[in-house]
Amino acid sequence: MRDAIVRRFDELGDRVAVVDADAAYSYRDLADEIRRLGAVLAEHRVLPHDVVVLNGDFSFPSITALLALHVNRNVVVPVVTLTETVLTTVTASCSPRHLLRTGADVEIEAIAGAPDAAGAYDSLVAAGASGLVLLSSGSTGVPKAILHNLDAIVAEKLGTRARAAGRPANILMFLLFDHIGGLNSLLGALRVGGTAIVPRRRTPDEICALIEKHRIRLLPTSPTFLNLILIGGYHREFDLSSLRLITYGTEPMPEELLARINAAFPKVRLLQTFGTSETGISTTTSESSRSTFFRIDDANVEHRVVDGELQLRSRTQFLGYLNYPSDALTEDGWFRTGDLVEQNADGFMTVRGRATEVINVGGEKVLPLELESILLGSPLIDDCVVYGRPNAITGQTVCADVRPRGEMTRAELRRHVVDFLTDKVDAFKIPTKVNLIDSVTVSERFKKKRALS
Amino acid sequence: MHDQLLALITGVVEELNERRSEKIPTEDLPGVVLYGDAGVFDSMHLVNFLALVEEALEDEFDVEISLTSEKAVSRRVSPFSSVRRLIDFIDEEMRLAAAS
Repeated sequence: MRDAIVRRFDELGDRVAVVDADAAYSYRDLADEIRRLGAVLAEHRVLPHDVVVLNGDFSFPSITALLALHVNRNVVVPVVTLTETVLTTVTASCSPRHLLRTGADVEIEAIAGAPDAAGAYDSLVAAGASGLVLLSSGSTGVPKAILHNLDAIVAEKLGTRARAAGRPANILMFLLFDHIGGLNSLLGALRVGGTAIVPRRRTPDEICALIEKHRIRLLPTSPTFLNLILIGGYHREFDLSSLRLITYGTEPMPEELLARINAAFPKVRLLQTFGTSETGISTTTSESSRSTFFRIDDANVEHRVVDGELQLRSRTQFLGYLNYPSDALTEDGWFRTGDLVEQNADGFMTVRGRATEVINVGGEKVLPLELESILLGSPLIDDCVVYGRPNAITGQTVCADVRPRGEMTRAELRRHVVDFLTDKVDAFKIPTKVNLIDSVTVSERFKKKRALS
Repeated sequence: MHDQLLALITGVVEELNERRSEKIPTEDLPGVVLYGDAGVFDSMHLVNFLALVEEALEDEFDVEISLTSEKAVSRRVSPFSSVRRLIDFIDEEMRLAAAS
């Protein structure tokens, strides 16, 4: 199975697999480099089933290193930004033996002082499979180390048949290398014999310039990033006519923003993706480009809604957390996504928000997304983020950080927000505090950051 | 200082009155009961009112004071029993803020 992948890359020959910093690498280059790295791993005594921290963002070296480690049956821990804290967490919870850094070339060093894995990887060893550890970008505390069977993910996403028919697609590696969505983009590009275009920086102008230059057809991204493109007007500055499909995920899409995106990209199909680091990315169908309602159409994934929360069970489900109790799983093995969804009569559903982001105002529940979505319908508002703040009277109150379109004072903005929401929502949902901001704080994964109460 | 604070709170009440069918009388504002049996606000409207006062204080005096803190809520004499008490509380908090 593992060697079959390399052979398949050989067969694809001269097709361009990766474009990284203006250099194009063919599928043959990819296969050759995977084989060369296999020898390098052996030289450094990186043994099968050793845990290896792979530090780097998308690049030709990091992509080939990931695949070489898979072929060598290692457990890979991809980390884009390796801070001291992250390394400490990984060392304590994942028992890594090696650190592989990808710059111009790969460098491998041993990691000392990691505790014994104490059987955490036994099932992978027994199956003779490679592994993958994803670190959750949890909003609080230590990231969760989520263990997957990498063989299962590769088999699921790459399949056994080559699907290189038709014109190869250029796909932008917008999502990060250590994110389930990023890996999904990469495997999706390789599956169709397409080209993974690697961005240097993920700024709206740079991404739009790449789309124009490489005639990119598929952009997997997030609602927040799409709004940054619209706010900056980059879709008018660059020729983005090559785009056929924009997939958005990682956070819920406000309906009003979707309407703005449709207006800006009338010829592009918009598809909502849905996935979690624990269950992988599911194949989805949006009700239409204009709808935030979607359906999970994936033979690999079952779903159900319990008390408003979406629960998933998939064949490529994670094996467990290495540093947390698996309380996200129900007794019967379903993963609680923490996403609150609403279903319509046709079997489509839409995400209303995160269970952890519900604001409780004196016992009344407020979902930030509902307000954000309505506010984005105002012609005077460019962007906004809604969150709860604690107070000793009603428990929490609703706060909104708003970026106005054009000049406005805070008092004017607050009056506008209150006016705009009055008669559209219940009184308790109207923000008590409105802050005027220059830009919404965005995480490195291009999700909105809501201040935690 | 009390006069300035009264003027500031009057401004906030006038703004709120624009949206209220039942207006809050502004002639004898210091005596108006904010919260409780005879209060003009329920808890949500009180929080809303206090947030506006906080914002006005920030704009006018460049000082950040929380009027919904545990401290405000747990005082023996509630700062929400009347506008006068609220002004006393704000004045006290502003002195503390200036001293620190």
